[in-house]
Amino acid sequence: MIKLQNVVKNYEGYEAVKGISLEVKEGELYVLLGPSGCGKSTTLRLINKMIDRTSGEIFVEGEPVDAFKVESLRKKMGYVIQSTGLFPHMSVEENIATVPRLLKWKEEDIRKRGEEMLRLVGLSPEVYGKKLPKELSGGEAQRVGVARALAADPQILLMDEPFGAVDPISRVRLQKEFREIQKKLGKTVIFVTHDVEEALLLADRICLMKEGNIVQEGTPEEVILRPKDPFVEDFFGKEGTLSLLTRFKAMDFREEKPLPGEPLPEETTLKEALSTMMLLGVGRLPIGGGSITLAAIMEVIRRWSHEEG
Amino acid sequence: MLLLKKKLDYPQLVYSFLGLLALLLLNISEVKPNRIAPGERYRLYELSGLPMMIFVMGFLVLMLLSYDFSEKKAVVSGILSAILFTGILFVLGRVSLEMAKDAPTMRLSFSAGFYGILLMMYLLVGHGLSKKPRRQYLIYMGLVLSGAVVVFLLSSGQFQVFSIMKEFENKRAQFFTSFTEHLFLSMGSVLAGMLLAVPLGYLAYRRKKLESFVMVPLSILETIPSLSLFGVLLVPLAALGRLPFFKALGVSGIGWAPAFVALTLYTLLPIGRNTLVGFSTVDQSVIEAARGMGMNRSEIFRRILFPLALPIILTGLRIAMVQTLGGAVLAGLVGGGGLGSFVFLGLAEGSPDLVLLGVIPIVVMTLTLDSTLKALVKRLRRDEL
Repeated sequence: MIKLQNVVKNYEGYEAVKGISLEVKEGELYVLLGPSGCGKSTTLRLINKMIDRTSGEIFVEGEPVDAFKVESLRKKMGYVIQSTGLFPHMSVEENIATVPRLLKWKEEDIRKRGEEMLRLVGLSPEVYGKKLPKELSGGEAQRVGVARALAADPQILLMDEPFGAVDPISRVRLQKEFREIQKKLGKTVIFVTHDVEEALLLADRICLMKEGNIVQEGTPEEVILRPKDPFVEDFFGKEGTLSLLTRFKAMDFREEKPLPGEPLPEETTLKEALSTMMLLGVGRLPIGGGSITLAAIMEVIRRWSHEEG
Repeated sequence: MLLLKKKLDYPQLVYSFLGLLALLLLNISEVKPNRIAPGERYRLYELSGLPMMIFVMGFLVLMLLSYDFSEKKAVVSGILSAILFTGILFVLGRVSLEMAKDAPTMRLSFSAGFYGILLMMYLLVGHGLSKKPRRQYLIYMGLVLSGAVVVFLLSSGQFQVFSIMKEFENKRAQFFTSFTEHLFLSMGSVLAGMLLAVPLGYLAYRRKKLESFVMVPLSILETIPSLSLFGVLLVPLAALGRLPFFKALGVSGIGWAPAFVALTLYTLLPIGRNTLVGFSTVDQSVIEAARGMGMNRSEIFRRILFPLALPIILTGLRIAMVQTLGGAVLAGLVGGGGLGSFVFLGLAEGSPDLVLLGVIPIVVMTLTLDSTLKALVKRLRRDEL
């Protein structure tokens, strides 16, 4: 879907991206991860030509990016940035309608699409449609940002630390919901972040970058369980394995045996379930009419060490 | 002491107290037997009997309101001030008509007390509005209503003994010509200034290197005193006036041309600076998002940059408008017409009422245009409230 070949970006006397090659498959959520200044944002912005590359080639849907007019290239891809960039003088509806309007859709279709998108990101069109960006919380604003990026139904979504400025509680909820949306719509997403937990929760594949180079690329399990060098190991830290547990839903490891008490929410991850068990000092918690045990979680971890061994 | 310890709305107290002092201690008007002869000055209570008590009570109520901090008080105080002032005008009209019954050449002009009260009432209304009460519109309605009453009294001849009205009667035709001239001269200068300064401001925004090349000359222009600017313009405009095309337009070293050019030059800084600031304050991330969504340059300008900068540009336009309406008085000095001719004629003849006849319409024009543009900006700024 998207392919980079030996892409280089030079600023005066400074090489931000040093000849990287990668390929993102259709429907994949591909995370560019790394410390600040590693070139991950630059790489993302080279794809929709917000910045021009110095050398190398980038292909989108099999065509070199230079084959497209730059505006039409950008309209093919949704773009979400950390500061949302919502237009402060336009209502939520109007913000979402931006790209469909540029593409000269019919007004009726634009309106319907706007409502559909708001519902998709969990906001009621009746309540939020007429609001102005200043009336939204950080989390709501970023939901609108995602809705706006998806409005013209682009096959590709470029996201630059989209949830970075959102408070921690809303962030986790947004991440989980976004993961669901992405799977449902089958969009190809390139997602930039420096947050390990976020990368592990969302990614199909992670590309870890450092100083303009790719250090390691692979599924979260591969990157964490088989780090290529000390930098990778350090970057994920000692809790790397533990963080991998965020990728699994507790519901999928549930036993039928019911347990009294307040059940965990259905979207609880294995890591959250484990934390709750440690906090309460119990080995079994109720969830979705059944229950989840410490033994089940340990089994998941054991399986990894087998793979590794 | 106990009184002072309580929390008070001091501006409210001071303005209304000074208003009361002006009412009681200062002369409100001067009554002359004719235009030239010296007259006698009176305080309001020397002219009117019973109504005086009502006015004093009105001021006392305004003073008492300084104990109150509610929104309602701001509205009540604003409206009461407008009513009080209209009432004083009405009483002066009645009294003067009565006095002039046997003396047809008699005239009444305003003295310090009148202006003192007017100033304090203006401050009180402004003070009430500055609290931004939710029912702000009630104050505006009060003002418009009082204005309507004044206009009605004016047209029904209640004020015909006021010397300013006598001056107006003498110069009726010239007054309307000058009024139109003044308005057109000011509007034309601001329009021309806008056409020049908005592109200049945008240029300074686009090319950061040009910013000082554009802004510094404009700042320097603003520091040249207007009279010397007229002098500087005399020669080139006189030369220009010899060319047939400009001659046909009436361009010459004196007259409307130097006034128009000078006033236009003075509008460049406020409009140009606000244009630059307006564009510069647009959040970079907003432009980044617009670019990322595939807008081209002109779409970004039309849909994002310009609408977001517009309130600040309009504020610049408003400042230029106010400044130009006042500055256009000087056109009267170089034969450029406008209400300035009344002001300078009045000064030469030692007739303050003639000066007033020139100044009052300027004040009214300024306040009207100022508040209209302010309201427009407020409407546009819904995003930043």
